[in-house]
Amino acid sequence: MNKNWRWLPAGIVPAVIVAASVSGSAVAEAQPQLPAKTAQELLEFIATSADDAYSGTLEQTSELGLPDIGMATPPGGRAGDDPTSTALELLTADHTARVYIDGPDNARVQVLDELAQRDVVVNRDNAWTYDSATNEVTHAVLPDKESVQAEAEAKLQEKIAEYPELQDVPRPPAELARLFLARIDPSTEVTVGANSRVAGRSAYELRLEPTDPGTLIGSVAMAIDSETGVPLSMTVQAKGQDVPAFETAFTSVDFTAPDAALFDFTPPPGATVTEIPTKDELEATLDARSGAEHAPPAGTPTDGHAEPEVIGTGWSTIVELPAGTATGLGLPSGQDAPGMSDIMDIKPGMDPADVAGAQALLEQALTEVDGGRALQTSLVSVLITDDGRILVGAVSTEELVAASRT
Amino acid sequence: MPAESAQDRPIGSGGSLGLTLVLSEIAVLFRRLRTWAMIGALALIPILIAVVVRVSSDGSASGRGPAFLDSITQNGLFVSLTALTVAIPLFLPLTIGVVAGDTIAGEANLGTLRYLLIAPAGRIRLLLVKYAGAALFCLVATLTVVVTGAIIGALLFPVGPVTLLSGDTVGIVGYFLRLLLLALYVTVSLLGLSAIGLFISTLTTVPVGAMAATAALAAVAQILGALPQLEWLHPWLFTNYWLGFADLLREPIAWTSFADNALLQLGYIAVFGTLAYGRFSTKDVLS
Repeated sequence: MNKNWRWLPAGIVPAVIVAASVSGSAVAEAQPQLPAKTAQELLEFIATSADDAYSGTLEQTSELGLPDIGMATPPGGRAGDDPTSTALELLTADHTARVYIDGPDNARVQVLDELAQRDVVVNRDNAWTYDSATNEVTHAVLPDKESVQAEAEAKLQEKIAEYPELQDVPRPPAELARLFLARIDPSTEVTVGANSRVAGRSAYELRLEPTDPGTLIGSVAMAIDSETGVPLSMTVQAKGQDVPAFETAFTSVDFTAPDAALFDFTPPPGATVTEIPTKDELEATLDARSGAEHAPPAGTPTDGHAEPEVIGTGWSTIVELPAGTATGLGLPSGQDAPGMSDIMDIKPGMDPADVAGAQALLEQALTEVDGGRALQTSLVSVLITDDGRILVGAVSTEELVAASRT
Repeated sequence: MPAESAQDRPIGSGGSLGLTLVLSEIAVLFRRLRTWAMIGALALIPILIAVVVRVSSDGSASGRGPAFLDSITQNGLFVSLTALTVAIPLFLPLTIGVVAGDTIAGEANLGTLRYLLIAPAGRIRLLLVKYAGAALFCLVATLTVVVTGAIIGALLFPVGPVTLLSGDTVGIVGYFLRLLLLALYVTVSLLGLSAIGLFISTLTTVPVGAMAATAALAAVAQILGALPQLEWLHPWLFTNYWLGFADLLREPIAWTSFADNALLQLGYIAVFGTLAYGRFSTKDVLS
């Protein structure tokens, strides 16, 4: 008779799959019950986690209102390897990264790209970066911890000689947390938010909300693991935008010490290794160079060390880089508007398609405003004035234009 | 098309034993000229890549082209990876589409289907046997690309310890273990598509139609997967983890994509397997 019951499994299986995926996300939403903590206690709690060893997977998403350059890239490739594109790509595209931490000295971060990977390895004295797509390694020798500490201690002693009352100030984490809160209090409301679950662990939430109406930043929220005090996620909310402008969170975390071999790195055979000079070496080269050619070549901005100017305070602080910076960086300054090819560091070996893509991207992102060109994202604005100054701040473009006039 | 499917099959002799049926199905599949032509075409991919790189090798690593291409001149073992990257989006789905689309529709088209179905229970078994054959072809096709790549790479280029994506190096033995895992990953990735092909094959008696539909679906899924506007849909596409095989080349191995991929493919097998059962067991077999 009726054989239609044989279609039954075909109806049941999708229903079960949908039910399983819905209930799976419902469990994750449940809010954990935790002993209450104040904002100050949470800050102290974070400070105790500096020596912890753990590993985990991070997901980073951002919604900055910039064109997504990931879309124009073929699988396995990236939107060019010049620093501008790399920085833009790290900011605007979504990423998955694995993090391995063992105390304050050892760390490894692996950015997992499709068919490629970027690594940063820090062990006690060395820092390495490796990019599998280009097979390039950079290596830096980190300054000796003890000498840095000694230097800081010497500076502190100097200050104490100046202000003897500092001698008596105790500096345990609790005191530092209190000082920090007192310091940011006028501009920021620090609250403890609702508990949440991050990477399957119960977490406290610490929220910083700017009281300043001028800033684009709505709030910064941090989830703190309820057992260890390790920050598990950070979310930056922009004003007038529902989705977080920037979010990075662990999707899984494991509080056992990672394999020590992970913090050893040997450049693979065939890789291009670039050594980053230490501070002393850099100073030595600079001294040698200034001895060789005393007069700077004509045309270079003489005040190469001009200090950037800081306008305003708190969250709506604007940093103004003086005139000449833009041209020094190769950015256009209106007057002698150079071609877009001057904007980026274009090397002879670079693929023209890469260059064209990055240029189109920059042209698309920059908009003409009164007195210059601006880049407006949901969190940060950048203004390049016609006279070559660059203004950056977490405020609207209009505020930057106003600040550029004063 | 050779009409050997029914004649060569020992029908009835091992009817109670599923294994005999599976073995005979495999024998029929791999006795076909078409199967060997497809395997040959797949083997040509790494050979072509290796020869072209060898002939035009002027030492300039441009950073363009498929992933791992630049590494081939330094280490021939990368030929397998480049070939897989090239074969996964198009050539592998195409051959799987041909095999999976032919499973039921091919027999129906030749008029041999009704001989294979003696009892109603035989239909489930026939579906399982056909699916097992298609799954084995997935494994053979993937291994063909990987093994040919390794051989031709070793013949034309120097071979040595392999640099993983994380910058660590593994010895040749460790690398071959990873290659095997990788072949397994790609095989699992293709099982969902095989199930879809099996279902489509039960819908028609025209095998070419089922083959084309299966291969086209693989292309459609990849196009949908490239559209950022459909991001909510991406985790549900059977092609979503196809290029995730690179996670096996990291140190330590990122197993999450392997597990996620297996779960996803299992879901597709369950959904389209039951759909195929629903259709095939209620269908009037006239040919």
